[in-house]
Amino acid sequence: MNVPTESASIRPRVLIKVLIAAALFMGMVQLLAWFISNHPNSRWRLAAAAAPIAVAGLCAAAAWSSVEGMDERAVRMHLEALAFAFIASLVFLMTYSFLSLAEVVTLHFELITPVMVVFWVLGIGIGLWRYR
Amino acid sequence: VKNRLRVLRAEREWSQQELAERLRVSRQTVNSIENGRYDPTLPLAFRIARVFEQPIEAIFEDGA
Repeated sequence: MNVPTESASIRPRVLIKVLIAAALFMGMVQLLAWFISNHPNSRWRLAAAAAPIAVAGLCAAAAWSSVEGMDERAVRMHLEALAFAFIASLVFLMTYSFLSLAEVVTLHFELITPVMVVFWVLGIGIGLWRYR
Repeated sequence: VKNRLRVLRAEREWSQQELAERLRVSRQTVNSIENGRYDPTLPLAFRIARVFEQPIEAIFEDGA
């Protein structure tokens, strides 16, 4: 029987795993963006563009493993964190895109993932405080 | 929803961890319920009632 323990609710190890996978993804995206822009005629261009999908799969697996073994309070906390991350990211990115229309800032699409991750971590923090 | 979880647990001299293991949840969940910060779902409320061998309404009280 899988009994959630002290660490099962917060699971910092899983959180670290997700953050490492997300950082790996971002690093890979940057590297491949550099490769594609510097080698526009390379025959590896398409493969390079598709490569982050495999790392994105790692992120998804790490995130899913965080759901397994959670008890109902932790599941609720994470669902609320996801809802918060989705709404906050939407507002943030809409604001950002309007500002980019006015040419105040430049919108980078690779920002979307880290923005969502940051808001998700923030949402987890809010949940931990709320259900402490 | 108010509850008598802390009192019932103290009567049995169980730690939060012991109760958490009996309920198959984390210690933090027991703590949250005791502090009134988290209301358990109906299945968990039934498990709590079974563990303490009392009807649900003897453990949980509608705050309204």
